Amino acid sequence: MLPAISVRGVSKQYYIGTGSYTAAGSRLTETLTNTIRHPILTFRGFVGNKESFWALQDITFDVREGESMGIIGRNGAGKSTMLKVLSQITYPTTGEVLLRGRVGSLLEVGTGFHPDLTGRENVFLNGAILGMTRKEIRGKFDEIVKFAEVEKFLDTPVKRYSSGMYLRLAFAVAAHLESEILIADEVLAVGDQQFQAKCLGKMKEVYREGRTVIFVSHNMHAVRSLCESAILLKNGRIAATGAANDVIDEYARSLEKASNIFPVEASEITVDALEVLQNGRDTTLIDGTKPFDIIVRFRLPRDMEQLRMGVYLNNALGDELVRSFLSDWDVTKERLGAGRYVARLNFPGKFLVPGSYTITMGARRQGSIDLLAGHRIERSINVAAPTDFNSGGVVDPYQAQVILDRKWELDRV
Amino acid sequence: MASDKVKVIGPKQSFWEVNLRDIWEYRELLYFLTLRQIKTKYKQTAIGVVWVVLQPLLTMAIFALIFYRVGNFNTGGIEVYPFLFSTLMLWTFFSSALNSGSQSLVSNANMISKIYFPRFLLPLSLSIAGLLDYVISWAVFVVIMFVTGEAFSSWMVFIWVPLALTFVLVTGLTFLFSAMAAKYRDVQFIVPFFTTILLFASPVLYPLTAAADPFLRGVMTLNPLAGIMASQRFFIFGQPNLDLPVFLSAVVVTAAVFVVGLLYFKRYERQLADVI
Repeated sequence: MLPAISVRGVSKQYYIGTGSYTAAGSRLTETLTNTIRHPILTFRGFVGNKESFWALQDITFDVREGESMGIIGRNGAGKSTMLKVLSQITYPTTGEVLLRGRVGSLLEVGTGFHPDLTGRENVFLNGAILGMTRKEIRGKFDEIVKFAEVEKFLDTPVKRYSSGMYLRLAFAVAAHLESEILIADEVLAVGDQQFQAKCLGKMKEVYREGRTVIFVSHNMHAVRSLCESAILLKNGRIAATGAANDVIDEYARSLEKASNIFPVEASEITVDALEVLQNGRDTTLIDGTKPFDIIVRFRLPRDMEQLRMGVYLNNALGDELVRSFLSDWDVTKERLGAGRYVARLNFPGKFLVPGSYTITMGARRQGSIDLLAGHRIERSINVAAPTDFNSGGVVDPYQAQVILDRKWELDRV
Repeated sequence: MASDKVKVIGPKQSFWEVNLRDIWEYRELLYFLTLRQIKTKYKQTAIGVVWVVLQPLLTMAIFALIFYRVGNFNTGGIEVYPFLFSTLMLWTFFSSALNSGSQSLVSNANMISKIYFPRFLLPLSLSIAGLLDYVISWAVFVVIMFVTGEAFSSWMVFIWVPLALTFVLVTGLTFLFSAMAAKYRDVQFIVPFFTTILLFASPVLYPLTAAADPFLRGVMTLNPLAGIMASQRFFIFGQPNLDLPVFLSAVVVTAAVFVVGLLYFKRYERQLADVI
């Protein structure tokens, strides 16, 4: 059977600077002067566009009908460009894409929403922009409204909506798009956690219906749970391809290499490493069931008094969940002699809810200067849900910041 | 089920096959974009749709005072107010469609960079939305005709001709300007200036006969709005007689402007998301 999506040797070149691809639009004068100076060369495209870079280079892959594929990679790796080429927003410089079936692309929710129009009007407008017919939208209207939970505000202009309501309505329209091929960007990165879980559930449903899905996300857990296969982009080229789990692991390994450059040398402290260990290996992907270790290797050139040193753990929204210092439970650790140290914190499992977290190192002398001023030492980790935790699924997801590794006792009395 | 239709996205695409199919496939989007423009244009204004008729009415009053009290143009026996309003309502349609249409790609840049749809729907929807304003001002015009005791001529059956020409002309121009504006923001300064010049270079506020000397007559022959405005008056009042060379030239120039605008638009359409 022919693949639903065939990408054949696609490359995309952008011009930087004064050429025709300048982001904010270019000035007429430049083109005019170029045309006057070098009329023939300009006409043939030789002048004016000097610097260029390839956002995508020689990308080739197939997606089977009914397959769900993730596209992952760091910022600037070419994910967005790939999505834009697949969505026919921008065109490849060379190569071509073949799409078999009706394509729906969701690079953003609520594209074309007009703040002055009511919820009802925007549903129809947005639906039409996404490629639905009026008949289709009318048929799905009640479902969309119910999913978005905005029944009471249907005839209110969306500018009066809370941001949550707005996003829910926008996603609801998108979620009811019945295309054979669905191309989705990080639409899940919006809204509160409860709504994100709901969106993820809807995406899974789409995939289970046997539609072809291409999904781009920074959220490895979302990719892991939604996609069978994945491609990893790096500097515009395919760096890895295969089963989603393998490609994600490959990506995680490449991230580890890319973190801080150690040693970080500050005036009164030198940090040699910030490691996150689970199952005996340094990793960014944490199994939420088991504990893991945060290890700081550092050197003190001089004796230190009143040292307040440790780590902060922030969730993806930036909330500080944990601040844990060496001296938290032991005041004697505020005073350390010169020398080389390894500090180890055993972090409990079954505590963090699934998601991305940042571990940042902090070191200061009490009521005094930041010893690491000008340096930022941090690690990103991704925590997967504990396997035996009953979250309640999509219908009733957990909303709290942490989970408790405690069971209830229940007696019939 | 999935393989019955194959879409190819490549570096080049042939010119004609895409367009015609797209118009049909995206007709509902065109409808909703037009509706969006109509519904939002006068939202949160105190007098709303009254602005549609107030603009040409005020212009009419001012110019009736200046040109026809102070200066003395020959309207050929037609009352000044209907004489001015008949062309001003068409001019209002032209100028507001031109200005909003030229900005249509830039002001919807976000949409263009987030989703595929035939880009020409944006300027086109604004031209279509402008038609409603024109129809509304006709109601006011009929009242003016009645009050001033002017009568409609039997040529009225052709009243759609100048409107159709204006529509094609303004759509062609917005294709050109909107695509240029995406690349060169200079256009947003040029268009209002261009509009002002065009108002005085066209027989909107004066009769075509006022441009008698050879140079002005040359301008009138090249300016499609001259023939359009003159025919608008002729079809309504039955006089002054239609200057046929000027009118035919208007038809030709309008068609040429439309084709040039469309070709330019098609040439840059595929780059829009990259440059905007």
